[in-house]
Amino acid sequence: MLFSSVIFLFYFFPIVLILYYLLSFSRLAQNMLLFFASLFFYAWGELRYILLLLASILANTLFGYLVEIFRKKEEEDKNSDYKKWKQITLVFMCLFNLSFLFYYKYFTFVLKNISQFWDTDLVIPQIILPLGISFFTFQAISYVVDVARGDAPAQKNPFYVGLYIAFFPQLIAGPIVRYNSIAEQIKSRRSTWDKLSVGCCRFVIGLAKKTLIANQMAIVADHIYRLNNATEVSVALAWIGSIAYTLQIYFDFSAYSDMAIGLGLMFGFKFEENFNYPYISKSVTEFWRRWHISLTTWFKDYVYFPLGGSRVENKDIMIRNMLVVWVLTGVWHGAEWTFWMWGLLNFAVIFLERLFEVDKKSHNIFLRRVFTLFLVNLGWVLFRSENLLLAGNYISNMFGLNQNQLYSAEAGVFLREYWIYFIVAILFSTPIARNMNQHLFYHPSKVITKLVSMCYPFVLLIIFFVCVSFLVKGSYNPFIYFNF
Amino acid sequence: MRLKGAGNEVRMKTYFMKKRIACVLFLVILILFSILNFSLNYDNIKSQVEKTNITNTLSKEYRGVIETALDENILSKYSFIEAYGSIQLLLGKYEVDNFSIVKDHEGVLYNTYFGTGVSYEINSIVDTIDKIRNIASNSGAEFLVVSPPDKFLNGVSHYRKGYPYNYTNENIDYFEELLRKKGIFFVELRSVFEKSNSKLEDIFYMTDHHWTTQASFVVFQQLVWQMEKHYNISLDKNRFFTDRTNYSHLLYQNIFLGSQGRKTGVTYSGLDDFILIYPNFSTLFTFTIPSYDYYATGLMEDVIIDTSQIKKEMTIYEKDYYGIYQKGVAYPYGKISNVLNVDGPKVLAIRDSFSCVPLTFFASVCKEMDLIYPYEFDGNITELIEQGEYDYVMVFAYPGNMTNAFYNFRFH
Repeated sequence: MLFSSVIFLFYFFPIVLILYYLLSFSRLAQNMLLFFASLFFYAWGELRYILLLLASILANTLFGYLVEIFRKKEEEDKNSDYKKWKQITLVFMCLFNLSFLFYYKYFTFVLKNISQFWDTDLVIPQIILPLGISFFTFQAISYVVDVARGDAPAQKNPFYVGLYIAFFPQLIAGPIVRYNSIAEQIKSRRSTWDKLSVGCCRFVIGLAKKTLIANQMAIVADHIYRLNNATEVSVALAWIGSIAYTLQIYFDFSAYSDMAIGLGLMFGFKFEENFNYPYISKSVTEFWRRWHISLTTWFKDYVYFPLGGSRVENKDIMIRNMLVVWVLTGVWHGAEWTFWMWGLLNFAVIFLERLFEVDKKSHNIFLRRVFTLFLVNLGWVLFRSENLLLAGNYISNMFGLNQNQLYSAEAGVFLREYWIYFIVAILFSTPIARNMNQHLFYHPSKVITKLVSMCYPFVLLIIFFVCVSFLVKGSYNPFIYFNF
Repeated sequence: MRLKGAGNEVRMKTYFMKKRIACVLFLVILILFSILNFSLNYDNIKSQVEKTNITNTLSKEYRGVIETALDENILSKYSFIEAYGSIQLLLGKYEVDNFSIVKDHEGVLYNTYFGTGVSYEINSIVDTIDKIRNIASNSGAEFLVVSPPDKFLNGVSHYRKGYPYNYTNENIDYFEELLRKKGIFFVELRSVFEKSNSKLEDIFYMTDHHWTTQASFVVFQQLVWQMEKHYNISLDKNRFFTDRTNYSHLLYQNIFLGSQGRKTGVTYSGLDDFILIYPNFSTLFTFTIPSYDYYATGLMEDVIIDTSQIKKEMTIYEKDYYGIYQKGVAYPYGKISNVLNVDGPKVLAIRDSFSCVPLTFFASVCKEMDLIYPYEFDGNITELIEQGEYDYVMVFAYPGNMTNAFYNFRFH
């Protein structure tokens, strides 16, 4: 079930919201409602994998319970073996969770490559990737590790663990919510008018970003990438396609995060921000502080720091730690060599930026922004392409290396038809809206602030109506997270 | 965003107040709409879901059927579509719906996509057609193919450069070349229209992918004349049935919203005129559609042309004027008997939606005409032809239907 769908907007969401607030007399009842609603939400798209999700919930509840016992025993008696038992449980937990992830996401890829490399005729099974497995696996690991570290108590109630792992706003496309940030909220969050209102508005804005910007950029990007696979594309067309995808992935992903955060607020949960205008970054290092923040934070907390991070005496170890994180980041996104290369490309650039202390420099900010965007854009070509060959072909077309034309009629058509969406997307990928908000918030003229406040609800409703028009029409509404 | 100080507290109050008002309005409208939508559309949703052949209610396919029913039965659906179309018009867009519909310089809508070359699925379609031809020949029937053109008529169409083109003309060229190689006679229509000096909007509807009734009459004429020439027969000896002056032409202006227009809204597409053509001479037909439980005898304009549809109280989104001929296409089998022409040929027409209007007129020169629609027909085509004792078996092959899924017949 997508957030940007008729069934979610006019059936699932109103019913769950109304029932949630009708059950305000009991936190337990509310949590149970959200848990079962989340299971229904997941089952609607993937009934057969609901058992997998439930197995993950039960197993990780048990792991959490065990590591807490071992941690408490270890605290009582530092010389006991409980530290070892805790570590064994953690290793087993990681193996359990990651083995499912490996099987469903990477097994076919590994077999295909073994088959090609050794020229054998291995039978490659058709394994369908359960929706959101990368997200809920990482959340499950986060739960057990946070309990093991003592950052949060274990949940005795498996339904609450289930609620954390399977909560529908962030189940299929994040943000990856760390357990220690949510543990208290499961039992003792407050639903307030302000949270409901802010959440509501955030949800509508997210819906607009998805329907009115991301989906339109998707039309451009998908057509051009498809054309690139089948025929010659001009330099201009290749660049239009790459920029369209750069905008699509940002608006699609950040829109889903907005809707998830908005929905969370409506149910009293406060999730961390997941995007902070990444395309204004002055370096790739900064880009990753602004892009998919929950993922980079997860890798930082659960991989990079446990490996030693940057606070190691031997710089080679630090480089190794960075390499591990970036390879895993690439691999997490999908089972294809393009994701490996994309991860390695990010590693290489970030390493060089560290080496030359790029982030500490304060000059040539505009040029640095342009260069960062250029690198990020190239990275997205790699990310979007089905394989390395097609990625190479696409990038070659971008630079005219295939003796392709500079310009074509098709390039003119895409620009003509989508120029306004490009302009809006580029504008709103900068913090122009946030700055306008701040400016209006502090505006000395009460007339202006009152006028804006009066118009705001109606503008939001008009935006919602336009979104619904696009959805009812059945306009292009791709779901790009099936890889995750 | 909690800031202290009297000024900031007022600002915070205003900030949250506007969000609260927006939230209340949004939730009230959403919940009211959801309740109304479900209660008013429940019966439609239920009947659409019940129509499915899928029995496993836990399957993903069944959930897909439910979701489609919910998507298609939405309150004020066409208001939303009109809003969408209006936005496209405001933005000055010539394409809508992910480039699947493009508007040319004259405002005519085209179904299209980014084609990359000829479709080699045509090879297997021609093989299927050849198989049918052999069965027909073995049963003593003559065989022909009717090849309707698409809107991309050279010299007639005002299509925009650079917009997606589905290689329809190249597909037709390839199709006809294969038919020629196999010695299969086909009624070629593209060149007739390209040389006709007609405007595209007189040949095809602006808002629908089908040809107009006037163009359909030209197709009927060509079918008769080309068959007469090829088979050395006489279907319309005195040029009576193919004489346009023997038919009434009733013009209904700005009345028809075609299939493409229904996807974009009237605001974007406009409306087409519809010309109802029916005979001025006496006719007596029996028309049977078993799956519709339809059995009728009478005049062509009463029995085969469902003129009652024109007067029905329906919105422009619900009325399909093109479908008033032969009651549309979406039934597996139908039979037309011409009581007044007992010496005429018996014809099997393997048809698509383009055949509905021309074959209505063609019924005048036949004794009997059996109609099958490949997409719905699940009978055995070999048996049908062998037992039918047909004089002619004809296949309509519109380029947009050239897929194996469409010509998926069961043979012996």
